Amino acid sequence: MFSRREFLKLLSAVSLSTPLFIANRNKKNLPQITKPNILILVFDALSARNISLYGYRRETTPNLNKFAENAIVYHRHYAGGNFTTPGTASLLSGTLPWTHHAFSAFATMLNKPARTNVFSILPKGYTRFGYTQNPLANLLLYQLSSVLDILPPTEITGLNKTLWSKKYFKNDFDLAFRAEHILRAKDYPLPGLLAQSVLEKFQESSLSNGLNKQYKTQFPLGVPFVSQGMHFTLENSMDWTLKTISELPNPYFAYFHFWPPHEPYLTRNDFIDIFRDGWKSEQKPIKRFSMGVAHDKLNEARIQYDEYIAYVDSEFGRFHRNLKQQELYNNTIIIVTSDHGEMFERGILSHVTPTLYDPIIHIPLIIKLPNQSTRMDIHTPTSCIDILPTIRYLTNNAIPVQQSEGHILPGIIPQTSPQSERAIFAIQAKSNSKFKPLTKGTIMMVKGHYKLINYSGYSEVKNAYELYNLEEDPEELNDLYKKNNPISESLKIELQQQIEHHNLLFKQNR
Amino acid sequence: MAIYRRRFPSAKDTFRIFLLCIALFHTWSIITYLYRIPGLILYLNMRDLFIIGAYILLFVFLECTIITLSLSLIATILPHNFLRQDFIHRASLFILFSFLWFMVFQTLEMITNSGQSILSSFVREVISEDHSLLVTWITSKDYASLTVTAIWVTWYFGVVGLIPRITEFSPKIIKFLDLILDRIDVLSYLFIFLDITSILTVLIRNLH
Repeated sequence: MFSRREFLKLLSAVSLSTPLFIANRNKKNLPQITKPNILILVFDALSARNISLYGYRRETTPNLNKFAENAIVYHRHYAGGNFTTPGTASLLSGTLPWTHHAFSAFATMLNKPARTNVFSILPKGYTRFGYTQNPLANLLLYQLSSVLDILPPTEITGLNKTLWSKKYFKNDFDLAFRAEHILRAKDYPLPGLLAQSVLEKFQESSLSNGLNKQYKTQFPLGVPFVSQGMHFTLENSMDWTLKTISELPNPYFAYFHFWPPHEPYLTRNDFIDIFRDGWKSEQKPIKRFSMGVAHDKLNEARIQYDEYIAYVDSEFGRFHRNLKQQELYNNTIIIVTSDHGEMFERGILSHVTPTLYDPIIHIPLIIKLPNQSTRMDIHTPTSCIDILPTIRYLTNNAIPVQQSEGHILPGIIPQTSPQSERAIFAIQAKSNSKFKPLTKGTIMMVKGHYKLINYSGYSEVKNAYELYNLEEDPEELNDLYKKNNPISESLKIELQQQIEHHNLLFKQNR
Repeated sequence: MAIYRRRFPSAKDTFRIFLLCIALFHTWSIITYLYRIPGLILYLNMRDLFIIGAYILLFVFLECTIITLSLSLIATILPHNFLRQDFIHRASLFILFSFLWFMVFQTLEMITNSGQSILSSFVREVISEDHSLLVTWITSKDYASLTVTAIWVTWYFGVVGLIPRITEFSPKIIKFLDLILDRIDVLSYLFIFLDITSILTVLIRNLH
């Protein structure tokens, strides 16, 4: 059996064009596979509200629809937070942000909740693989690197960028990366390394122009890139993914987290203008935290986002068709999901917002079980924290999961009725310290048909609530919250009790 | 050896230029780091903040070393009366101007809400109001970034080319440069002490 270090050494020695696992491990000598492979595909910032599989009016995901014909489709699945850090941390740790405390961008989880994670709960014999194109998610994977067998660098699917922190400070990547981000950041505020950043800017501009010219026919809007400046194409990334999993020792648990359809929405040539259908989304009431983006501009961004999703879906379709050709396809559990959604309404664009309206936290979840040949639709609310206990169940692991707050997803255990009255939460608390109890942020609770949103600790809003009936009003247009209303009050009490309970646990654990 | 001594700036002058570099570039980096601290303390403890600071100082130290050595090399390669002659003043002015230029560049190259840098927006939106063929071409999507680069490079080398003349004919500037060089020593030595601590910290963190 390969050790993690051996794998990492091997990985660093290979490039995209060479086989990943030239190992002394001969596939013919593999033991008889009894445990399923697990493949998680996370597409960043993919909102369920813009997916035709979930009823969106534009046909954005024909390939996902096809994949869902033999899978379980979760119609009311929620992210743990409204951007990568809390969303991914919740998925990986099976706990909500009030437990893992990865509230802010570039934060990692508290050590105790991070100890139990989707990789650590796997039984012996599994190859644990993690890869992400998102720098925020990458920090979280690095936090779990001690339980990962393989963690390839982000740039392995990139067309240009090299990180110094990964090249020279592998042993101290977490902190070296943060320093590098400050030194080389091209975003606000200014980069710390003054002269070098100027040279790099010219160099990158020329590289970027070169790549844009090289891929001009395919990507006339520009080659997709992540915020750190790494350019990539989803075609290359998906091909690499397919190649990687075909070479992973079985059984494997492989987590792939792709940047698209995260902004910038740079779709491929064949998807440009396919949704210029004249349709404009309904204008929604602005309650609070509007960014002031005009409705027309939001509609324009929505078109670009939808066209980018169509590109992602097409690449997913190609990937899925190729995966089907592989021998072990029928013994693989495929999970398709996202870390958070995206928003084009109420004056808010993308997902940098304190709000928790459905487009930003309602994400897809589609699970294909081994040999599954029919579709199952689940309409019970579920959360990304349910994935961890589900994986544990599916891999027949006897290791007790102490920290997980999730439940085994409905539809996984045959002949069990879903818990319809379970409360689902999502949390946004970017300005709350990781080392302090949760007091400042937005928390939403979905229970039955109702959704309660609480804003607290903001300078603009000290303590406010919104209540929606998602069954009758899925677009969250009519705020039903009223003091002394029995539903408002009971949900409010439950939410407050949960916050107090988790803050108390946090204090005890500190 | 004599030819090297004649062509290379003296070690003493080079070190004084290095001290100037250290003072300016470290100040910038530390300010940008301090600017990030309110966000970082939300999820990092003091120890982590110190280590990040160590990495930052290490890289700035390397940057200053490279700038100083490059400048000495340029002084050696270029004609004697361009930079080598009165090296201390000419190199100081070069460093000061470059530092200011870098700051202006970084500020103007910051990406705005429109997704373009301030200068790119200016080039594409303001200049392009004149629709002559040349202007339309230089402000087009394909060539705007090239135009912006050309503006920056011309501006930079235009001023750098004037440095020998400035130091030759302006005693006030020479006096001002001497004043700066005399006063930054203490700050620079403090930064060098921090740099040594940082190098040790980074070594300890990585040599295991």
